[in-house]
Amino acid sequence: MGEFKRTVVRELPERKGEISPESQFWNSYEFPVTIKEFDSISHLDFSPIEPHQVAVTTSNKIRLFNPINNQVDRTFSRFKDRAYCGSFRHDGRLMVAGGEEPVVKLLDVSGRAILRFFSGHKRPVHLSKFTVDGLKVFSGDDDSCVRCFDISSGDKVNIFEEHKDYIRCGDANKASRDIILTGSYDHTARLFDLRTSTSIMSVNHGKPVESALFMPSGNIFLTAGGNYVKVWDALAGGKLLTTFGNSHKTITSLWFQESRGRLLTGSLDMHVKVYDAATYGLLASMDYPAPVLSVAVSPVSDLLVVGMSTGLLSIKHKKKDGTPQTEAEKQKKQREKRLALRYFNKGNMYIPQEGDTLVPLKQREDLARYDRLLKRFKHSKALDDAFKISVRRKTPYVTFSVIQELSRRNTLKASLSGRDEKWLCAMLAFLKKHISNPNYVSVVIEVTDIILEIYESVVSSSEPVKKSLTNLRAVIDKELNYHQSLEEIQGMLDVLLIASNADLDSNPDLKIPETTDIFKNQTAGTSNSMEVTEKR
Amino acid sequence: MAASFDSMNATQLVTGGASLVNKRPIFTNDSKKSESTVLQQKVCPESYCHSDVVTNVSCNPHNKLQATTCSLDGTVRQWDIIDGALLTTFTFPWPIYSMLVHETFPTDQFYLCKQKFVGTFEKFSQNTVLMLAFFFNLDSGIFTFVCRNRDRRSANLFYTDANISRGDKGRSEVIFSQLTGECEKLTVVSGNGEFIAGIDDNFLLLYFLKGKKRPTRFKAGSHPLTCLASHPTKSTVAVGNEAGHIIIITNLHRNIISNLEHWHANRVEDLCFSPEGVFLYSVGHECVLVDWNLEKGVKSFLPRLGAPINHVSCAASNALKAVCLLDNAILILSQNVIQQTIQGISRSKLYYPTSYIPCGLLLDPRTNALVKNGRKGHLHFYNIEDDTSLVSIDITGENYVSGNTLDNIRMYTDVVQAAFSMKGDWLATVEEQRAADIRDVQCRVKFWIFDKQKQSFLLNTTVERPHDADVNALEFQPWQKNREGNNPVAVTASLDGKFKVWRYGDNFNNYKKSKCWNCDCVGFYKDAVPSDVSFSSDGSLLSVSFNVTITLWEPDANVLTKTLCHTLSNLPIRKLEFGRGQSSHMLICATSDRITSWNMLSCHVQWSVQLACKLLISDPYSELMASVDSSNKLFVFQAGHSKPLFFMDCRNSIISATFVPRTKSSLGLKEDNLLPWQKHSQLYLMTEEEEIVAIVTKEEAELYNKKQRFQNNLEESLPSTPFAEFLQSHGNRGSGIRKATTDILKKYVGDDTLVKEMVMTPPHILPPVRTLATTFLHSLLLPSDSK
Repeated sequence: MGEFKRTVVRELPERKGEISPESQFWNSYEFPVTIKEFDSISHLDFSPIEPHQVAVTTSNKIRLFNPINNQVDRTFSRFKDRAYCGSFRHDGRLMVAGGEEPVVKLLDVSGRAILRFFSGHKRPVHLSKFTVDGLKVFSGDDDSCVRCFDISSGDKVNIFEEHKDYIRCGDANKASRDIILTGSYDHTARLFDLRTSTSIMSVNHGKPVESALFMPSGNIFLTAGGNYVKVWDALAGGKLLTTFGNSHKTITSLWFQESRGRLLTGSLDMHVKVYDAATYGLLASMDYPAPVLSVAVSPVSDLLVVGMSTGLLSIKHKKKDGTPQTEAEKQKKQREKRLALRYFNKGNMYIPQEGDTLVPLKQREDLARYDRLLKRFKHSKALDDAFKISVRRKTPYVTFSVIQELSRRNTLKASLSGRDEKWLCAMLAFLKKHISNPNYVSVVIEVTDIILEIYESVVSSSEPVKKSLTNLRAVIDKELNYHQSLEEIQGMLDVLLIASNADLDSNPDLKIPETTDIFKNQTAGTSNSMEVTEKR
Repeated sequence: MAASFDSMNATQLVTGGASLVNKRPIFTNDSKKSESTVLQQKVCPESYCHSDVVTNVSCNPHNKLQATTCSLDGTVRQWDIIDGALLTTFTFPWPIYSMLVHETFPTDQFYLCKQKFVGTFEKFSQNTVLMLAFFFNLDSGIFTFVCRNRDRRSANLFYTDANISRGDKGRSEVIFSQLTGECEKLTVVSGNGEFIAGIDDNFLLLYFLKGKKRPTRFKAGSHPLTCLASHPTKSTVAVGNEAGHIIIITNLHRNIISNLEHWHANRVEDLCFSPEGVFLYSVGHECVLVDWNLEKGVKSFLPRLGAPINHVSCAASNALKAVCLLDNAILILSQNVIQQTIQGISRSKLYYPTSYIPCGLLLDPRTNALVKNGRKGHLHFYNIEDDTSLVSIDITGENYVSGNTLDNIRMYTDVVQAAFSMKGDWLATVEEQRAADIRDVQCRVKFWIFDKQKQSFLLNTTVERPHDADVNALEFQPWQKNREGNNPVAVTASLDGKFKVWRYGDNFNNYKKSKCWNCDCVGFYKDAVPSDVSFSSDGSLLSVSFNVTITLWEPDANVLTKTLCHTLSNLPIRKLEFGRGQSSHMLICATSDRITSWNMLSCHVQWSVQLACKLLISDPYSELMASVDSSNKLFVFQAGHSKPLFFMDCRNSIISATFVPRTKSSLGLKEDNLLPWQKHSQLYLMTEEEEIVAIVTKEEAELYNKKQRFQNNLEESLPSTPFAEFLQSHGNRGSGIRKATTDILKKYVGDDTLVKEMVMTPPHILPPVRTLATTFLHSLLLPSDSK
């Protein structure tokens, strides 16, 4: 009466599943506090001074959230229409904001009053920021015009009319008080010197620029637009250093985390990605429920705030490690621990006396449900259990391992028959999803064959099943085309490689690099899928 | 001619692999041991035991210390159970197929024989096969047997042969004619001694011993019956049939009532009643012991016993049950817990029509144990010197599931290749899952590391689909200390035309620190299929045979250095083996018509011999090589010389062979008695019957048999002290210590017949100890002439 051996689950090693220290850092934020606003959150900014409030620009309000209790400390709602780009000054005492009305407003963070109205714009102002010395404010509007105002006097200092489309973003150089960067929908980003009247540099991003950022050193700046980010060297006359981006959709915001040298991008594909600012390599990725419009990390990295197009604001706090507890709490915990220990050790300390009959406690083996069913030869139910949504979505290899075990037991056909339309459609969708995976293809083909064999006569009477089969067929055709093109490429590569090897070495049957073998493996899948199509 | 002299002197000795499960085990009346020990004696046919297969064992119901065996050699022998001494032998002219004893007939025993009558009596045609039952009276030595013709109408008298011991005239009656199937399970004496029951196809036959009731024959179900058991007290018989039904037939004297139970999916292999008759145990190919409570009508199960079961028996005290597994193991169960396992060399025959040992005989370099395929998906380690089973490693981790029908081809995952690294710290296995209707072969390579703390092999790496087709060769690189890159290396070759080099190294995973096997490189040669791989003894050269060509590679760089090809044969190369030791520069390659030896220093053919080679093995520790050709001729040669050192015709078909190095413990034999080439290692062959055959000299064989016999006797006659009993109660450990005491005794007692006699004589008939003391002490002294 040997133990029942568990079904061998053939879990395949997955590279991407491994947790790097960086993604561990970004995963160590707490479950997010989400706040629903009425309108999309277009801009986020952190106050540079303690307690690092975050300014959230949404609809006709700018809200200051307290990072400790996540409550709204203050709301600036003196906007007739939408507000844009609420930004802090470096001392955290003043804020500037543009808006749908063509006025730039200077706000006092601690008071209610609007200190200054900078007028002169003719169209909505999407960009409004302080220069690095905090004495001037620059703004850009939909009239493709950049203006610079002096705070103390409220007078206009400069006006640049070089952009040819809406200005949506910009940043001040952190090293020089006179240099500003603006990005526009005319695909260019320009550097302006406030001491002159024209731009000193213009770079072409290639897509409408959604976000622009100066690095703290002031010699490198980044522009984001489309699904990539470009890095430019300002000192080398606007030389393109690199282009990177792992997003599927437009990148809408950039944020530089100074404390750790990381670059964060928020994108319409609902992801926030973290890059290394030195190598521009992807380090971590986080997903959100809606397209991300703005992203910000507090200066001490304890808060990650993301604003989304649906008006969702997600605030994540860094997990506190080793929080000191009060004495009373500690005692309570210890007491509980002791009680639990006493409960679990009950009877463990008992020393049997001479003549006692010892009955060893038989530990019940903890088997998965499908294993328990297989143990009792309930094959159909075991397949049902392994085909649960939770199992087949997260761990398809478990489903395939159980199918393989059923096939080994010669009961696969019996377990697949007698199913209803809904189940069949689900199974066919599952097969469709995995038929292109070379690890599963043999099992998928076996199951498909059996399903076709069993249900061949009744398929025509069910519209959804027919549709699922057509879909499956389309995937197979696509896969075949793919393999054909791969084989063509392999043929070309082989010719090139052999030609280059022939120069080095006169003996051609020697080692051919392993790269060709990868293609060979994939072609094995082709022949199998061919069989299915022929059968059908 | 030295060679011919050798083969004259040499003989084949079966040293292991006897079947333990051919016959139903029987418990002695004190339940202390089952009778399997007696069964084992058939492995040494020429010794003191039966000269042919032992067909049945039974205990004498009136003398609890005696057992009776019958055999196809026509003899019936009585034994003393405790010391294994032969008491009586009766000789009969015919092979005896079975025997029935019962306590209600103290002097009579029933024997079953199949006899072809040769024209002595006109009423029997020449080839009529008949079953005879005869009464044999032990007291008078007169046996009467009654014979009845096949049509069961006429009774015939005939005389016994004169050469039967104390034979006399008698009568015979054929009670049942034409019984088919396994004789042991065909007939049974009822518990109360009233009748003999037999089965014939789907009929139950009854022959009443008491009263004047006529023999009865009636139909039990519509399927052929396979086994029967009789209730110990009532007139009740249970029969099992091919369809898995169990029919319980009661009230046999008057109106017969039968009751059909059905649980088994395949045929019922054996049935057994508990001593009180409350429970009926049934077994079959499902690996389940079913326990039917006939009074309450409920059944309970003991599942997953490991392999199909063919026999079950129950001790008289009801405390122990014995179950025979078809893979050559007997399980002793108590309260549904396995108390002890008696495991012989496990058999693969039960899963296949013929013997199929795909990974052959291997040698575990660490323990010098033989390794072969055992149960499905297992590797079985076997100590050949003691004929004991060491361990069975589960390679595949799959549950054994029996089929719906017996001939159902089921997909099993089989271990098809296995190899040990040179020091035995690594084990690589290739497993394949195949069936007739599946297009995709599931193939897997596993690497196991030996854990010194746990003293077992632990799985290190599993490679799914290492090749696109079957793997046909697997070998480790001999590892040497002074070489660079100390990571072990293994090579697999496959029918997909590639061979892959696997290297133990860091896991590619960046964040976890672990080591595993990775594919180092892939090699191929034109479009040919590699057939075998071999490493030179220093591991610096890898040879791979492709069709008719041998390719030589540098394993570390994976660079082709040389291709060798000759025109002597156009047949593809099947085996490739580097020489070892002094002839490590030689490479032997075998095709199906010749063996060729290449000299690696000059890259020339050194010699070539026409030989239809079936097997080619090399001794890892010497320069010896052995080859078996298609007509089962064994040749032993050195790689450097074409002239064989030894050759021999093997009696049976050989399927595998291996050299096992001699350990110090086995060097008790004098060197003169060994074959000259076997001084360092012993050659073992495996026959198609999965018996292990050793090639030994005649002296050695005699010595072996003697030793076996002496060991048996001495071991059995040791007085059981309280300490020994305590040890015995601790299961397997006891046997080891008991063996140790035997060894000590042997050491001191030596060959002195006087002492042996003294030890072996029962104490109650010994003269007083004080009279023996002086002689005993004298015998222990070393003779004065020896130093």
